[in-house]
Amino acid sequence: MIECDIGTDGIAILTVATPGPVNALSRAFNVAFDEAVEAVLADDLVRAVIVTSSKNDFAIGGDLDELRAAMTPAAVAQIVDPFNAALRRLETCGKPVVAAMTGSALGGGYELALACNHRIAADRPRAVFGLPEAGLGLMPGAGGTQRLPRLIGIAPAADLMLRGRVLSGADALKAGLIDELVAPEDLIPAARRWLDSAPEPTQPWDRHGFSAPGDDPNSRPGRMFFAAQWAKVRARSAGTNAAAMAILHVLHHGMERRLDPALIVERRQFLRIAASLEAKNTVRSLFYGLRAAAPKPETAVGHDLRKLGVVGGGAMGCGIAFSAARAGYDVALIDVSDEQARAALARIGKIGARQVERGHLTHGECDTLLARISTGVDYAALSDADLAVEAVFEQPALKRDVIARMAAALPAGATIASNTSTIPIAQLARDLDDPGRMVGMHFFAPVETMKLLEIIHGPDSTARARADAQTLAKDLRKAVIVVNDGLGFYTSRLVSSLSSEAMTMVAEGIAPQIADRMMTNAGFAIGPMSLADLTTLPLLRDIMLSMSGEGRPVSMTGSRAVEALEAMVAAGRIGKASGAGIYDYDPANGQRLWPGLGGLFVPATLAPELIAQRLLNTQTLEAVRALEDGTVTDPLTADMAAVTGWAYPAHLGGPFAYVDTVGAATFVRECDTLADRFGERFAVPGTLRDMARSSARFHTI
Amino acid sequence: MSDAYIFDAVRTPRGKGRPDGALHSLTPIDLGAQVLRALDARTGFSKADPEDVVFGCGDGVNDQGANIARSSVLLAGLPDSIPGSTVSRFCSSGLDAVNIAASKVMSGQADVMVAGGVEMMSIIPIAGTGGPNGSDAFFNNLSFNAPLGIAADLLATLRGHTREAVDAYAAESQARAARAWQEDRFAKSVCPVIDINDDVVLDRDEYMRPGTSAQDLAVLRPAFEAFGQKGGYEAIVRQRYPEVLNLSHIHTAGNSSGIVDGAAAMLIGTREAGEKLGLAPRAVIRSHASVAMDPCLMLASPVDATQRALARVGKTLADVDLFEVNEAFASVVLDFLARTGVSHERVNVNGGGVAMGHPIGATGVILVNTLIDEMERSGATSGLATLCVGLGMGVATYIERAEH
Repeated sequence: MIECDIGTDGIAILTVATPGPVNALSRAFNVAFDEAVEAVLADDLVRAVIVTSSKNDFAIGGDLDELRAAMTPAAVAQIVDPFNAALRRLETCGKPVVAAMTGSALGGGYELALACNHRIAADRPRAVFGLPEAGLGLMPGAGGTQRLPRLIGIAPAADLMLRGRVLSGADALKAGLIDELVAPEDLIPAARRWLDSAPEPTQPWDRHGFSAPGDDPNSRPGRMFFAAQWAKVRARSAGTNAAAMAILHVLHHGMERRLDPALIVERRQFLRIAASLEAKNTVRSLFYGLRAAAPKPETAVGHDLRKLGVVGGGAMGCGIAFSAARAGYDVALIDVSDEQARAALARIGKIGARQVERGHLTHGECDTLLARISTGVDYAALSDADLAVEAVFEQPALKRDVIARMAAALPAGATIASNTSTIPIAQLARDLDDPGRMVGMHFFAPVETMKLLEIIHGPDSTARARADAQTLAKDLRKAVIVVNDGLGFYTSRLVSSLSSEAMTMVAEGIAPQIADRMMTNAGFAIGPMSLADLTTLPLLRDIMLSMSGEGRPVSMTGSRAVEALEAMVAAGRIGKASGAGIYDYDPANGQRLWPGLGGLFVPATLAPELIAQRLLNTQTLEAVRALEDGTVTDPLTADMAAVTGWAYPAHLGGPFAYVDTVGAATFVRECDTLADRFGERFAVPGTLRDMARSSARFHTI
Repeated sequence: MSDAYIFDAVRTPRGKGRPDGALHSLTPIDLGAQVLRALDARTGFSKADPEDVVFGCGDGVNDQGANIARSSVLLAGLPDSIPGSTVSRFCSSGLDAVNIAASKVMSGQADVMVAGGVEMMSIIPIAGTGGPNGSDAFFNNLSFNAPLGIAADLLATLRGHTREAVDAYAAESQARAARAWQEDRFAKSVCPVIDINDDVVLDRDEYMRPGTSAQDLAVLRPAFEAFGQKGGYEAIVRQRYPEVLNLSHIHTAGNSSGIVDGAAAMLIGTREAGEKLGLAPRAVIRSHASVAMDPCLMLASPVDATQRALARVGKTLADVDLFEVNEAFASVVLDFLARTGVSHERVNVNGGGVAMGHPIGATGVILVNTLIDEMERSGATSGLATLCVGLGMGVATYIERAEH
């Protein structure tokens, strides 16, 4: 856990060496660290301390397995209290202590460095430093919220902590997170040099007359900073970002106090946040869910993929082509005309330019990857492709036609993937001699930035097709949810349930802005009405029509979405791009209520709570039905897919975790009431009723 | 129970609350001391062993801190034996001073009281005190911390007020204030502010813009639009009021109350105490009330405060001849008019905060003072003063002419 080596020169070297590939600070480590510190401090021969690591990382934070299992504030305290006590003893021991960071220091690892008198880091290209807790709905809990602002000031510390931003070595040095950046082999010598320089063995914040850099929270600019930061967080996240609010709270009130009481202020909030359902949900979906969603290529059955064919040069096809080329694939993109093919190449170039602009690529890298892409009209370019993705318009006949051409041009048996969002793979593959070569790969836009990929196994999809899809997913660094075939698969089926319910509300005359607000208040980035205007109403009508066809999900029963959308399209309402959708839009004033809406649908009112329940519960009901009918098999990746695919609020976990969050019994009671009033699409599936009876959960942790 | 009589009241003219305002180079105790001296010169209250001097002050920090009432008493050269205390409830602080003074007299715990107020907004800005409201994230989540101007625009949005309506109201406030000054209607109350050399610093409300028309006001830019949109506050009030898609940003510097410096003081006591000083009572305080509502919308409380104060003495709106409804924002008064059905003819007849400014801690005293002057001028017998207050509160005071 921690090695202690006391040299004849009186320098004790504490080396963090936890079991496992990286240093995660577990309960056992915390106790061992506490004991090691105690021993070193008690030893009169020790005059100085170096804290370092046995690995290429210094320490990457607390052990999430343990933290997520701590369901109460007291249980969280048991984990962190020994570590925090040791940190405080270390920094007040009167002997100089230097952190010699072998690499990344994150979360509790960086907080360990903060409790040292001096921070030296080895200059490694991928090493990062900082407090990323907020990204998982958590907050720093080992003094980070108090020591970092005392080191660099409230405003820069708040910026880093609220965004969970971590910095490279060079940036960390510039921002003051570390004091020295040295070559890895010079790390311990540099630490010794610093110890030899007769350093002051106390922390600045423990010295008489200390004042932190930047504005005092009780000064007018200090108070205005907190007011503005609160408004920024609140405007963006409604009431759903508990961790950010807690960070602001502890920064404000901790910085008004000396460090010891300030650490109590931090601890109180950390215990609450770490034990909260919201944090558990976020950690589960965004950490464990993503981990479970890592692609699993089976090289034994899959083929080595070097060249990818893409048919269709729209936004999706171009995004796929770009992403594959970036992953090292040669790419042949086919479109219907030379003009279209050229336009596709230009579009891919634009994607590259944007990536360069954002600093994700250099010009050179971009040029190299663009050179791997050829576009044209001739399917013969697929003759040496290892795998090809169809990404043409969402029309079954068109797709089948393209797939037939692909099958003819590709090497025998090469996998054909359809980038379809709704059409069952069995339907698309039905005319193929070899339907098993088809698999669904439902990408999300923009392909180059969205993490999620939905892989659809058709009833006939072969092991090779499945494996090839996994291999491509891995190369494109996607998180995958694997689902079985059916109309809308999983993600579109759920998103459609939300859209359908929202459009049904439009037909009922419910004010669209209230529906939007209830969803953004729940933590969605955008409400379903505004989303419809972005999708465009004619396209959404087509999707709703298609989702109302054969094999339609229960959520479409009694849906008035098509009726609402037909009426609006007939009235010339297209969406945001045309300035006229469910809302009016104009460049000067942005989104406005459309006065004509009341003429199409007689205005009606519905309690906002019921609006929210309908929109949230329909997604969960459809998710549970998808689990019952075997479309999905794993609530964990299904929840992850909701969060990463359609920005389902992470603090709610996902449509399955939502049941756990509100409680199965409450959820069932709500749905029974909704079913009475709004119809059988809210009828409760048997699984849920059983769960309500036995107080069961989808996720035990 | 004794009756609480008002014998006299004075106020400073209101100076622009800016670095170029006439009063800006003075200090808050200068203003506090001057109104006390003026009131004493007219009434001799300092010889009547006053029980307390209660001053309202919205932001009692820095030069307004550490009990501005007692400091003003001492600076005024009044006897050491006169105590002082302060009361703070944002915009109604002055009216609360009046109500506390009245309550002490009514309950038999004082014979002579001075109620007053002071605010120099040119040196201590609104919210200069700090406090959880604004900077404490948890508290803000509960209160939806809407800045005042955003709350005013929200009120206007929910009530459907138009820019034309608020500007027309503001133009009328200017016209009424100009007429009042022209006809010397404030002459009984306003005492010039002098400096240490006895030079007159200000003898007239400085903030007014007589002759302002609704057309002049129409060109002013909304004061809270950029703040609401870039600062995120518009998104935040939408979370609380989901039916609102767009805030009507109709409030401007021209139809909101003016930021000013000023002070006021009022002598309150029993009839017997007045007789000893040779003073005839001008009015009697019949009742007062405080109420509260949603802190986000915040500004619609004057109606409830009014109704509670009147109900306490079995009166109705129809029994009240004149109203002073603080013109924090034009929408506040429009909301009061619409929901009470009281005619604008009976409300703020000599203009108000939009035209002359709203020196937070002093305003409540000024409203009652203005009411008494106007009741005497017009022969009215009853009046009510009310203000909307930060964090969703409202305060009202009901008075009647004193019988002689």
